[in-house]
Amino acid sequence: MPKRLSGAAYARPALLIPALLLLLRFSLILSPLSPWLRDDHQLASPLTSFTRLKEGIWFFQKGIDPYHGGVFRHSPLTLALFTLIPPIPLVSALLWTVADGIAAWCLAEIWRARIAPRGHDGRGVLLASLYLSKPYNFLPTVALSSSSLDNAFLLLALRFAALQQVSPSLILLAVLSFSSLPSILLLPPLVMILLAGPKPTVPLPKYSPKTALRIVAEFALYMVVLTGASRFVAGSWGWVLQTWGATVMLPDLTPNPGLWWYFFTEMFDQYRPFFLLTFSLHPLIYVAPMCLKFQHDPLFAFFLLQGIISTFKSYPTLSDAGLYISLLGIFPEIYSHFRHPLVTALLHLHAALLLPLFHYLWLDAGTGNANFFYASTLVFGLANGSTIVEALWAGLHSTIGEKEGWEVVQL
Amino acid sequence: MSSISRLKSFFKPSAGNDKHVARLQRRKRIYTSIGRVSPYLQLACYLIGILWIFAIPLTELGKGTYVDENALQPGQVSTYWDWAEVHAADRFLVVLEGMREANASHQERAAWLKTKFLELGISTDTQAYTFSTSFGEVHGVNTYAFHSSPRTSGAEAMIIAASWTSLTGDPNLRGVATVLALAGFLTRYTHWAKDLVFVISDGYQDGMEAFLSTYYGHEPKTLSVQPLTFDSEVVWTALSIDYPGHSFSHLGLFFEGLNGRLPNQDLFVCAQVIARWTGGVPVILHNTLDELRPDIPMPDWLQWSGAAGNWVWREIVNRRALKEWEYRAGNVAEQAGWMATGRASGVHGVFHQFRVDAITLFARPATGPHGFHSLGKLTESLLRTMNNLLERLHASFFFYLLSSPSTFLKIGSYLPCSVLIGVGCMIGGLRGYVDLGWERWYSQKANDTKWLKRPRRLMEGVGALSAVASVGAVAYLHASSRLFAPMLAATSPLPLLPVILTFSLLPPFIVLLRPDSKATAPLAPMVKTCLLFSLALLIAPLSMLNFPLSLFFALLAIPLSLINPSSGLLPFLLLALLNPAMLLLFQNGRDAIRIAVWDWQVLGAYALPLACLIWMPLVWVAQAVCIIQE
Amino acid sequence: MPPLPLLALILTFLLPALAEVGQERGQRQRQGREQRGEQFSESLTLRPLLDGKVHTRFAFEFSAGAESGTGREGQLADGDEDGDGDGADAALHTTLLPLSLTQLLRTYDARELHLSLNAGKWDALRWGNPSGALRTGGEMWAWFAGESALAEQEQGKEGERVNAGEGEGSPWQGLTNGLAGLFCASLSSQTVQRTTEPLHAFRPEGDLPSHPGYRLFHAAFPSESVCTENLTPFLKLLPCKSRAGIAQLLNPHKVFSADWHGVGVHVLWKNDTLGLGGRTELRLEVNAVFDPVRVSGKRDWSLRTLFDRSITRSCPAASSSLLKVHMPTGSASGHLLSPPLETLLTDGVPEVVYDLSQVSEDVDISMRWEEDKFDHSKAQFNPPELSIRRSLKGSSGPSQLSVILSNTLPIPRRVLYVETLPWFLSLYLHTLHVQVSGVSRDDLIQSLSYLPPVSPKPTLLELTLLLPPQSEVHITMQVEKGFIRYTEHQPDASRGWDLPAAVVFPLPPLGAKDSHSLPDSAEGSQQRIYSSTLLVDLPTPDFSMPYNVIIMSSTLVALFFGHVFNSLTRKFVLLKVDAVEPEKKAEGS
Repeated sequence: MPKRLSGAAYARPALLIPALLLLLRFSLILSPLSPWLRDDHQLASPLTSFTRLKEGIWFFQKGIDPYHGGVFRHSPLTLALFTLIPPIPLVSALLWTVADGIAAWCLAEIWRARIAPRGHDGRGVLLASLYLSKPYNFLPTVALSSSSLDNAFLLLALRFAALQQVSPSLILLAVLSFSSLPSILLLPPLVMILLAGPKPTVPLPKYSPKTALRIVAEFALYMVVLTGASRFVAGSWGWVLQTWGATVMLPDLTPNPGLWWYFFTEMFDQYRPFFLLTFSLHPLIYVAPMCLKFQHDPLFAFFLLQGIISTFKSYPTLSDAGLYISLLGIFPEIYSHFRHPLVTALLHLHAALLLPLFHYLWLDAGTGNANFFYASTLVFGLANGSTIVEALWAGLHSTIGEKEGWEVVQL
Repeated sequence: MSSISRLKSFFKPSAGNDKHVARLQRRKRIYTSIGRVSPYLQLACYLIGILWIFAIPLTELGKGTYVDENALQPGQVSTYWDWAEVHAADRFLVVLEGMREANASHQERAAWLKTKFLELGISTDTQAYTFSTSFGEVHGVNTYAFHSSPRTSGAEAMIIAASWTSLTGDPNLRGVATVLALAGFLTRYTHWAKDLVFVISDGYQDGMEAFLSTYYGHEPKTLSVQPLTFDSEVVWTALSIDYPGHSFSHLGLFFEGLNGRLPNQDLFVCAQVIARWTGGVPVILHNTLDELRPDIPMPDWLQWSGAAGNWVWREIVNRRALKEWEYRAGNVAEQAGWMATGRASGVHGVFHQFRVDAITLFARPATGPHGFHSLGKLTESLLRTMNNLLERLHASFFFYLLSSPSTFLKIGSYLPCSVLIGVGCMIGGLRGYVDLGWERWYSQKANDTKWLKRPRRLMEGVGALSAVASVGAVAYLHASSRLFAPMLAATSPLPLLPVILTFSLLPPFIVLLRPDSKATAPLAPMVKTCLLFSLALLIAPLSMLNFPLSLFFALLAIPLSLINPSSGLLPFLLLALLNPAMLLLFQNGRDAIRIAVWDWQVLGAYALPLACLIWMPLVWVAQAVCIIQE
Repeated sequence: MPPLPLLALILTFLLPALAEVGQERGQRQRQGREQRGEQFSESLTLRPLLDGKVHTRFAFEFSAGAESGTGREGQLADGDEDGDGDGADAALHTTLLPLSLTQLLRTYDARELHLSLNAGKWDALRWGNPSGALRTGGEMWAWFAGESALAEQEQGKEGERVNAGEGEGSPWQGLTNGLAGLFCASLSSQTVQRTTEPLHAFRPEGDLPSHPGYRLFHAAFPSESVCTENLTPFLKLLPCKSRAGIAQLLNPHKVFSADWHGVGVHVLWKNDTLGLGGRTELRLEVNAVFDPVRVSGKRDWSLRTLFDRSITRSCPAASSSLLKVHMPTGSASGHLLSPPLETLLTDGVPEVVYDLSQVSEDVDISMRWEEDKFDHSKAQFNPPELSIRRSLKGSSGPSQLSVILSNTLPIPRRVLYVETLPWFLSLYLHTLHVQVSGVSRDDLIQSLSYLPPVSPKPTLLELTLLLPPQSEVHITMQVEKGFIRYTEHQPDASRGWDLPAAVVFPLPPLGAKDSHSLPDSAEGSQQRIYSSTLLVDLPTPDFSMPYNVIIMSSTLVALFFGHVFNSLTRKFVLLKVDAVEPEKKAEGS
């Protein structure tokens, strides 16, 4: 068990940077910039857009079923949360800022848990600041996209798992899986972390199937409870099709940085179900192999799967990519083993520039057509994919280590 | 068989580990060669890029213009505009000239126009507007008339506009008269599929900007304006008629819009075809006549060269191909100039930001032979061509450079020159980044040099870059303040000298304030690498958005990327000459900047923020690279 | 069977030969029919407008009484619903009412039907606000009788509610197809995308029996235009076709070159005064707005200049055949009408009425003004007491629907504002704001009913508002443009979609008894005001891309899959490689 670090560890000037960043986003959310960004397709998907959230709440308070019609797709839990705390600017600004703060702090905590008992947490603060300053996380928060909240949930769940606190992490993952269904694939690595801890361990840790089974059962229990709660909140089962159904059936073809929207805009109707199935099941393939290969370091498997999900989920936003790029910071040991870090970095840089540019050319200027933006999403997908592949290779490689004059190859 | 097997063996070596060794070594050889040739590669990119720029005006690269949209059918209608309408226009003109003599106020003019439209039975109204700029307030009164065409659903419209001031600066009286006559004439016919909106905008571009921002509900903060009294409909086409002189010889087509936006090429081509074949008017680009320059006689001091000299003169200097090249170069240069500075070449330019294809028909003042008759005729024909439009014009015809009224360059044939230079910067950046990761370490006992990895100071580099760049905001705030505006009026640069010196010399020194670190790797090359990366990332995507602008930055990038890290004060001062603040030294420069500020505050043309937030910082960073001492 | 229609037909043919005989025969015929409860009357109203144009309204009114006892109330008189033998020939047995139409109505149990096809944009400011359908494009709405409607609801209960009312095979669909075939209009193409079931708007205009289960369907076809091919079948429905009576004037060349024109079919159920039984009224209308000024520069008109025809003989089938001319009021220059006739004042409108039931020689009525040129600037338009302006602002991103309702009366007005949008446009109701001269007045909204879009059914928003006296009420809400599949786009995708006009119904003030029913105007049809249609352009995909997209996206996925499993499955080994020169490290850091 890694020991919790005392609060004293935080009292250092380095903490100024995250504090400033939080303050900055708080003020920006209240600035006119936020409404301007709010409906940007790259920052907020139909599942996470704040405008739609407000619409849903408006319906809910007017007594109309918000899940009738295709506008509102947030989870009933989110709905419940925001009927408790009204989405007035100040409150939501505070909420999103706090969420990001928590997320960043969790990142630092996870890092410490990984390197414990070595207690120097300079890097922890660095990670936090990077997370807070990365545009991929910064802008969605300013746009009040609920994907930032999802990130916070995920990191919090991961943190609890890293600190071996079973129930909190399971509950959080369950809650998360209501707002973004694919995250449920993260259960196996999460369970492994709960069993074996966040540190790489040699020799391979013994995973006791009984405990694993108990944990999974507990998770299932939470899911059932939360489903019931959602049913209670929504008043009908309509939400299932509108939230979970949407992630699988893709009823709303609003563009996003992901690979789905244009594919299914152009898809022939008779093949739609088949490809929907393929695309939905595709991330599932990787769960078992990753978990098996990285038994010694479940946290790394978690990271890789998170990357795969955020690359191939149906309604991704930039903050998904931002999250796993931040997670990459937890594994500095693999940096030296990257094969083409420059290529990957440049891909990311170009994607980051091309996405908004081509989005503008297509939808605002009208001088480019949909293929422009599609091309930029392809570049983005390529960048994300190559990042994962790089990390995977480096992760495998780093277990071998290197010797001057010796090279590692795969047969 | 054997050859095939050899081929196979080349691609995937024989079994055993040695094949992997071979592969690894091959890869390293490739890397080595890349590393070795990269400097030459970079220079080659620059060189080819520059050569390509000179190749752009070549006739070989040009392509004949054509109409893409089949529905348009330019010039296929028989027009009805006749001398009666010309007479009507003349009568309008008499009154207009009277008003100019009596220099009537905005309100009087608008009121008269309104009554005229009323008499024609078109519902009309006026719209007063006020822009507040750092130079003071800009007032004006627009007049607009709205004719809903018979049997149409009233969802689409075409705009026929004339600004009170011509792009030459003179009052655009005949333009206004033409629009009035057209209003009386066009509304007599029932074949319109779109409603007709006639706008007489006050001022030059400000009036139309005010009208359109209310039309599309985009009022900026600096604008106070009356609302329109009819519903705004979808507009695809707009024509602005500019006829300052008594009569005209050529029809000049102006098409560049604000911030480098262009209208769809089909509109331009239709105007060109119709003007030539229906109106019988020769068409030119902008205001430059389509004549090749006359032969330059050989100067006396070259007479001694005799036959050889004559040959050179005949075959090169006065060669037709060269003259052709110069003419085209002139055209392309003018278009590029408008687009790079982000200014609109006419009133039409205000439309493009709202996805309306618009051009200005400029009647080039001359002593004849054309007048209202041909202008009205071709306008009617052009409007009826655009009336045929069933869908938006095709998206892929917005990227073009026009080298002459009838030839253009496709994006593929001009894009490479700026992209190549961008790639050059990228290569330079990569090399710099890789080299920074290694240092040569000489060991006494082994008596050879070893290469050791060393940590790069990427963070510090980026930090320095952004620190210097952030000063741009200060420059911007100052330039757009009421403090700065009066200075521009000055006829001598003296009052501006402190500003110039401050903004061209001081900001780079910020990097000297950095906390000193014990890292072994030098900082200056890292900053330069960051600069190269940012240049590459700026140039390549920008070339899609606004090619001439990206070309400008590409040209700026070449000197910036060739400076040596910490090379002292001389390059520092030389670089200062590239700073836009230097424009303030010259009268034309001051005027240009005044126009830029005005355009930014009234029309939202990007020249000012661009110069302050991108151009200046780039130069500053380069300067900083010179002065950073390790 | 008594060959009455045949007889009528022969009569109409023989008429020129034996005119006067035909006349009294016609008389007898007419009496005979009136006993059977069928009537036909025609009228033409000419309205000189303030801007020199002339509004002409042809109205051909049939009515058939139901013998009390037989036929459910609301059912067509000559209908037999259960189709048993004795009713069978009675069913086919119509003398005046167009069989093709009545059969349709009977088959699908439609009790009230309104169909209108118009071209042009009605200018309320200059032309006033006469009642009736002035919507640009096509509009159709019908009330269906209880049984079918209830059947609908049951069918609706199980399964999706989407196609409950207007799915394949439903009466609504059937009726639409039937009428589309009858009038050569492409109504049936997009029924499902267009159909709504308003809760408050479009109440019955006749007096339908008040027992429950009547069901309303409404559809607007903004891009549907009207032309000769719609008028020809229309004329076929008239007893005298276009050979006699005022229908002679319906010259397609002229009517369809008018600034605004349209045809309409209206079927109502009217109770008898006695209360037992009732009458089915069928009204066929042709409206047109002509512009004599454009042709001659003067306001003068005559039947010949307007229609290029004149009335040569009367239609013997018509019980009454009137030609009314509204005399212009408040106009400076005098005007004279020929042939002159004394002006009557019918409900406030001074009009001259010509009776055309006895036509001996060509009738041509003309009006000329004492002026040599019409001066537009003299025309004084008084703004309508209620008007709507609607526009879609914002060139890109989430656009804003801004509606301006203006009430010029010195009293507050209650109005019902009905907005229908296709499914891919979603309104953000939480952004719905009502402003009066810059001041937010959300309290003016009295009731709101909203049906969110469920693809492919449209959105329906019904707002009851209270307009303050002499005020302009600005309503704004955000509209999100959806992205739809490439197969769902129209053939002319990059033109955009026409949005149907918004409708405004004036409501009686609160407190008045049942304040939800809509007040009727003089001509018996509801007063309602239509906005203009809008054009919204959706972002389009590249329609030539399907294969490329499938190929490229799949390639990306495959590449990733390959790489991942490549490095997951193959085993690692260490190899001795000779030392590496530094700059060999380019690329790999």
